[in-house]
Amino acid sequence: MDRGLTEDQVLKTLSNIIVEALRVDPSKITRDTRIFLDLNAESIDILDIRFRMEQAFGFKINQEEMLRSVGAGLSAQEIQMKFTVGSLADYLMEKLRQQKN
Amino acid sequence: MIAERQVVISGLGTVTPFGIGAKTFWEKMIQGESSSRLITSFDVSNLPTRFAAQVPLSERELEPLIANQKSLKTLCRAGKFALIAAQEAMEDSGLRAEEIDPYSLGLSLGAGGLGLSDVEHSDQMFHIILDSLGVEDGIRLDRSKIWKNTLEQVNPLTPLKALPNIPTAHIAIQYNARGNCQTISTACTSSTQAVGEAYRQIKFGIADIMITGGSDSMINPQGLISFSSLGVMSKNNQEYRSAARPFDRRRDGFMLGEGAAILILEELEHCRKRGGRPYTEVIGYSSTCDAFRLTDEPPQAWGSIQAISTALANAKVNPESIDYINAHGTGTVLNDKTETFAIKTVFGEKAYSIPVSSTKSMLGHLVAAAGAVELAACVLSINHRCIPPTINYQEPDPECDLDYVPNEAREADLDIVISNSFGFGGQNACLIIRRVP
Repeated sequence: MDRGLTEDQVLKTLSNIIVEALRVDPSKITRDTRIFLDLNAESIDILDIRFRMEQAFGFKINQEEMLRSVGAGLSAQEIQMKFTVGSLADYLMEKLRQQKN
Repeated sequence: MIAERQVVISGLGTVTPFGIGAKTFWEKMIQGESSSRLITSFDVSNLPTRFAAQVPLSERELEPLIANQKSLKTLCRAGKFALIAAQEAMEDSGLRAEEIDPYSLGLSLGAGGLGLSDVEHSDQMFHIILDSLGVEDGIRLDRSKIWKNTLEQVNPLTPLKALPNIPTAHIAIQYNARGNCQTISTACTSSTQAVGEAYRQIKFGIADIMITGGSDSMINPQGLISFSSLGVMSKNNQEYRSAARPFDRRRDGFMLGEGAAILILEELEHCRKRGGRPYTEVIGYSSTCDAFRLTDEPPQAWGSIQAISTALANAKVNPESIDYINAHGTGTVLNDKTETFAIKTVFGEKAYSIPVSSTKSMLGHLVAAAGAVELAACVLSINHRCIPPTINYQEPDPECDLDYVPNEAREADLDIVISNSFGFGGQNACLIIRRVP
């Protein structure tokens, strides 16, 4: 995939991945949607979403790093609270910037 | 003295080579239809058997029928059949999950399949793929790279599709079944044992309701190759529409089938109190192992004889009271001969006047789902007062000389019926059901 993606393009691709992985109504997905709490994702769904992102964006993703990107030193429960579609899109944008450089 | 708990079947659902639903299943079966088709879902042109009894729906057509759409990514084809059949069975029973004590509701499902290939098998597959591509000698097979690429390129949830208890888990989640949930894998007897163990759970007061049955789908390259290697399937591609011919002198093996049947077992009083409709009562079950050889049946058929006679004892009925036997009746030379011998040994002269039919002649062998689908056939036989036939029966075999209900369904006022299942590993299991008084 072209590395020069806009934030909107990344968000759109990510939304499609989440819709496909969790079989949720696309209208439920905004930047603020919490992936664990609002979409009822379980741990294997995060593996699935990570895999689908790797396939779509063409780079490897460290699951731990991806989850920790919402804030340093947080508990697992706090991560679940803060892990939103928007936070994941920001993580992907950052990874894309790193890939470009 | 505490009264014995009685166990009834209060709901059923099927996915069979005749399609979705118990209504279609029954209607086509009493018409004596064959569900045999040439396999077109993958290239079978170089395989010895090129036909099977496939469920006539693709993955894409099955998926909208499943209520929990997120479950699809961890469901193999057999798992999808199980979920669809469970939905029909629960709806048919009139039970509402929110009105059930979740710890009194359990699951007992039969499952089979191949699982993930072992290292020896996958190693052979790599070489075969290279040979098939015509790759020259001298090309190095970098196995570590193959494993790494597999890790990176296969969806991480794929292994869950190969776990036999995943369909059980999905059904448990869907209906909040928090009691004893088990998955039984004993080849062709899997779902008969699953139902039998479910019956025991209720009879002995461990559960009030059990969602039980089984599913299987082996009409894929691995499954077809495996059964071809073992030499147990019919190779009569020319006459594929009538090649499944149990008990006929010309039989040359079974037709592979796929599908699922789920039955709701319930304690009789529980069913009556809520206004449920009991189809039939389960009154006997037995399971034995030949402890002889993996696939050969012992010449004296001790395991199957013991399974049938112990089931009769467990049901507290004498052999004279059996009105119909749904045979395992695979259509292999050995099975049909040994099963006939076992029936004659247990029932004596009476064996000649009991109708014995093999629904595998129409549906094929559903392997881990066979017992549950055949029990569903027995339930409907009692309710519709009609025995499904053994189709494609033309030439009697002197060693198979019972009344096999040839080619046409037969009206009969059935009261007590037995269903036989015998499987690889020397497994034998029998279930006895009767009309609810």
